[in-house]
Amino acid sequence: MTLADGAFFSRQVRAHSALNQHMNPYTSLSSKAFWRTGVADTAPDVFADLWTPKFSITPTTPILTVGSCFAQHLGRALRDAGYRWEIPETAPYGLPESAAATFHYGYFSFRIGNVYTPVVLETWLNWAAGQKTMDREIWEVDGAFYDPLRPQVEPGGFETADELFAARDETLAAMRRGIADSDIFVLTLGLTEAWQNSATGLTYATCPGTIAGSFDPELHVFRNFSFEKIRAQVRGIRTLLQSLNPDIKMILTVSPVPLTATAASDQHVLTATGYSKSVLRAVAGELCANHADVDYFPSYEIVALHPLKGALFESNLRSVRPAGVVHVMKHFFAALDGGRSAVPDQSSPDMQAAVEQELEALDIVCEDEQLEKLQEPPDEPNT
Amino acid sequence: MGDSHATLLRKHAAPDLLFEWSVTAPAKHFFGKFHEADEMGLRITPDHLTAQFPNLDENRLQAMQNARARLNDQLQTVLEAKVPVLSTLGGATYRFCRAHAAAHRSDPNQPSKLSKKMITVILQEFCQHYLDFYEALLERCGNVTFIVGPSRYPPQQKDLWLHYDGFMIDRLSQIGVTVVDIRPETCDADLRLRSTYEADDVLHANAAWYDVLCDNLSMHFPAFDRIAKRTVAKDEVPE
Repeated sequence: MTLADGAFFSRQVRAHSALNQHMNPYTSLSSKAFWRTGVADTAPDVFADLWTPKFSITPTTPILTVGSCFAQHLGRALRDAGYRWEIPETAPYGLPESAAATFHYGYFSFRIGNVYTPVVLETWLNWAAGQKTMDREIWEVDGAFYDPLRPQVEPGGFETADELFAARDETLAAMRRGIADSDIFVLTLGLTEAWQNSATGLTYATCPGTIAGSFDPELHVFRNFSFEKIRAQVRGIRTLLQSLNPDIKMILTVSPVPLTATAASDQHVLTATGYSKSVLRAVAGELCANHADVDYFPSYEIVALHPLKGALFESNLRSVRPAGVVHVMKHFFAALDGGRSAVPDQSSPDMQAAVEQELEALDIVCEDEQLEKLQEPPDEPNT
Repeated sequence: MGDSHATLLRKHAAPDLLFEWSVTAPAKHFFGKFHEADEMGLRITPDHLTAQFPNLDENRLQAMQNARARLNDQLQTVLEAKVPVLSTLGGATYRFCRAHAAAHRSDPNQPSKLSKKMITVILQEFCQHYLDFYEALLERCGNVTFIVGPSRYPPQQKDLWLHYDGFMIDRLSQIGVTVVDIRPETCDADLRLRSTYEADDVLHANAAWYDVLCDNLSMHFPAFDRIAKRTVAKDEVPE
């Protein structure tokens, strides 16, 4: 081989190499696939194309929301943006708005309080769908009765056990009705840790002895669910939802809010948070990848990953600032097509009109008694 | 003072007992905030009518404004006279229950059973203006008696109805209003009005109920003896 031959060969190798560079799988990817263009050059603004919805969501699509505390914001944000956030369990007529909140109406689609671990929702759905017999355990403290699946919904507890179960029946009926009538079920996954009754297997919403109940080390056991368990729970939720509405679709999100505390043996709360969120995120990813009716919305990534340098957290590095919720929802709405004109509330005005109509009819009854009185001039002695 | 039940009492008592002062009108005139109380006095006011009845046309609004003006005139004469007040005002149980029933019918998402705590909060909201009015009235009259109305509830409204009456009785008693409650004499074990005391309509009581009421009132107000005597005389008429 001459020098000239060698130069020719070298040129050929470089050309081939350049061709390969142009043909590798990364060359055809959009800017969102690269950290620099997708994140570094964009932060702290809205990340373009962060989420591409799998299914259509329009202002008329009925949407349900349930989940951990971060999910409380989602429903309201949907409503405020003119989307159809469904609340199949509304506060009773006449209950002032501030009081409705203390009775835990209006935070989620149902009055079930914060659902941190998926198995708690699975339990509710099993009861709603009639798949399992309702567990009758209740927590009695100083004459007040608390629901182990939602101890915070009745301030100070229910006055009787019957009231507690009647309220539970209301919620289960609302779940059946709401799921049957809705298109999208948004579930925000919170954590993997929970406390269980070792005898019955009932998983509680909170550890007994925290919000309510009393802790019994012989009876109450700690669980930190594995990937497989959480996956089975979320799959169970999907199956139960579809048993009530075969067409319903799920959007999974993971709450960016870290654990307040961990009960995992010898664990630091930071690593425990890492475990919980990783498992939940992985389960959401797997279900999203394997089911056309399951989508994943990346609220966790927006808030909790480092591009925004924790700026969306409060100073306790745990609570999400209101601006953080707004930022998350900007990503949600940016991905949706279709107009976002405000949709009038479907229930309240009609209810108010019905009440007014009823009272008007009632006034006619009373008016019969009083008609002559109103026609009269004021009573003589009063003048 | 009060709604149609008060008017019926007045009619029933006549001619043996005539009320010199009265402040009566259909319950809707006392619906929502209907009064103001401050250093200038206690007044029945039309100020909140448009908020309470947003669908009123101009004529009906005017009629209600006139009615409240009349009621206020009557109230002022009562306050000047400084006489004891007998009142059914705030005994809006029927109205309250019907509103809830209508809300439930119109919205399937409304809960059908409420906890006691929840009902209490709802009642606190609904009844607060009545309680405020009674408090202001007591300050100025010193002697106020509340009459618990006839307990004519549909079976499905039992809890709500009894809660309402119980709430008003408790709260009014607490602030010093005398409560006259003839449910033990006129109701069954569920505190439901016995059919023998029902008027022909759906919410009022008949003359027999007012006889029992007047008999009870005579324990507080001797003037009612006249009605009691009349009732006895009627009962003693040989067949």
